Amino acid sequence: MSGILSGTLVAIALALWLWLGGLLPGIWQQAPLVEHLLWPHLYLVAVSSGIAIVLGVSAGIVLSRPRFRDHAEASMQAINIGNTVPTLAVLALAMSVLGIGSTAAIVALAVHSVLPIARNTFAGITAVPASTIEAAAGMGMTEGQILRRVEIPNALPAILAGVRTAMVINAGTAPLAFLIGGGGLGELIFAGIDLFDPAMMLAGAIPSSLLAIALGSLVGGLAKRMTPRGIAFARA
Amino acid sequence: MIRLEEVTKSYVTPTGPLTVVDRVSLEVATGETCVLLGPSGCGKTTTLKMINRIVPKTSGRIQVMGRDIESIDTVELRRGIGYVIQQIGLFPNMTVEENIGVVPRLLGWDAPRIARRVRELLALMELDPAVFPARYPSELSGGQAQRIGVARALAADPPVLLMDEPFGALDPINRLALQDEFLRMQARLRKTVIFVSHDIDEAIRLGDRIALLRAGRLEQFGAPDELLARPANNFVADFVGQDRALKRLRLLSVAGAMNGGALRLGPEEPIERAAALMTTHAGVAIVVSEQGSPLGWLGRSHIEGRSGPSRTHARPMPAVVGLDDDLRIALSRMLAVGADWIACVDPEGRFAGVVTREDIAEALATAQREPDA
Repeated sequence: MSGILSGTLVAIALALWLWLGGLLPGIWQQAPLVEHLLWPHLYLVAVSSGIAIVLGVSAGIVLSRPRFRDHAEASMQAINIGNTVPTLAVLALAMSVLGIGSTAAIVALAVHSVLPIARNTFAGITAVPASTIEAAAGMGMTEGQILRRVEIPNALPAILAGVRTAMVINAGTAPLAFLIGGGGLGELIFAGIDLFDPAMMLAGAIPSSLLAIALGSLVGGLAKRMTPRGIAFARA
Repeated sequence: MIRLEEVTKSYVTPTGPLTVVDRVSLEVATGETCVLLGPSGCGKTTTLKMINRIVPKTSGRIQVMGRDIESIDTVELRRGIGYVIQQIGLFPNMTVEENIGVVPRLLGWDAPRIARRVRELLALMELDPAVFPARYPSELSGGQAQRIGVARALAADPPVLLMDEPFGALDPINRLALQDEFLRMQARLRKTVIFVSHDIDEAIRLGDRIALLRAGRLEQFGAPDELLARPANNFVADFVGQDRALKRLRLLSVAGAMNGGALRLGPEEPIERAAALMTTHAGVAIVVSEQGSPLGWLGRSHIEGRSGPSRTHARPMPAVVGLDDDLRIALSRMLAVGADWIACVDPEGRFAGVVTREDIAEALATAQREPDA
């Protein structure tokens, strides 16, 4: 909720400043183009986030299994390094392997947002007390039943917090996809920069940052709703 | 029935093999409670966890209800054994009802049967079945949570219960309350229980048998009174405590040590009759009402040279003790009022007899332990 509130405040302040600077009509002029670019942009974010969630949650779960747990830190470091590589370099690498187009952009964005999800999934599952797992095992739950009925439900708040971070990073990085021919709102931003047209640049920048804010609060709200009640009580 | 034969657990460490449980053999009969007792690091918890294969044993044989645990699938074995741990380990994401229903659900019971069973168990644990099913573990007190832990272990009515210091983290009042509930539950359900504890008093209260371990070895295995009366070595004697004779009193019932049911005197009977009673026992006579309740007592000094109905000369009763109480309570009350005898009453409050200090000493000497009620 606070995300939506602060987002609204930022939007109002921005609108005021644009109106005073006389940029508003120029931005409004780009509306048809924004509408045209918005869907490819959403597609990039949605598909790459989806891939990142599936990969990140699976990686987190696999690494949290007893036989991998000892090697988990090393694997996390490997993914970490992936994140320290500058976004542009990741994009360039993806392009050099997969060529120009949205596929390369989706792969690059997914790689870039997988870490917070994997790390939070791993941390959330390993934070479930050993005694809780022992109780579950002692009662005759199989490993899969422990994972589904005990570990994942109790790790869910942490997993969703990771998803939220990842999606905000993802939506914030998505405009760069333009640089490798991925399309989306980045086209307006970079064209605006090249043409010294602030209105055009803002016409791309504003919706893409609003998208990041909206996704952040959407996942935040979802997390609240999906958190098992008992855990919500425990955290309150 | 649970039988351990030469059960050993050792770990490989950089400095060589480390044996934490060393050829422990013991047998717990069906319906009995065996307490694994010992200081921390003695291997009692490891021994317990080898029974449901949470810890794999290195060598030896373990049988549960006549079946070798190696011959049964681990999951199937565990579903037939109730398991309670000190940290309780309730699942925070599940309600009380879901927590208790875990094993029944794994066994495929239908929902109405699980709901019925949950309410039955809550009632057994003295928790309101109308209030608790919908609660979450975070809304429970420590004592309530461990009651749910025990209820969860009992859910599918397993014949065997393993309890790993279940009451260790509770405050003394809650611990006593849960021990009482355990005894009541056990009197009704007669499970075969292995109970880990480091508390000698808890072991004496709850155990039919006590296995005392030190550094992975079984030092003594026997009934509580055996450990207290005949400690096998200095370690056992030290562990059970210097006051072990006093602790034994707790195991002996007033009913077993009592004498002198014939000391009674009607309220209207002449006081001269009291003298005849006093020669036989304890030097007192008890004046008893028509309904059988003790009204007062007479000693030698109260009757000399007096006459009339006994009632008019009787002294108020200094203290009474119930037949079901243990001798520790009887002795404590005697010491509190400075008497060397105490009158015993049955649950309806009728006079039953008298226990003297000599009776208590004799009871300890003969160790005529009452069979468990």
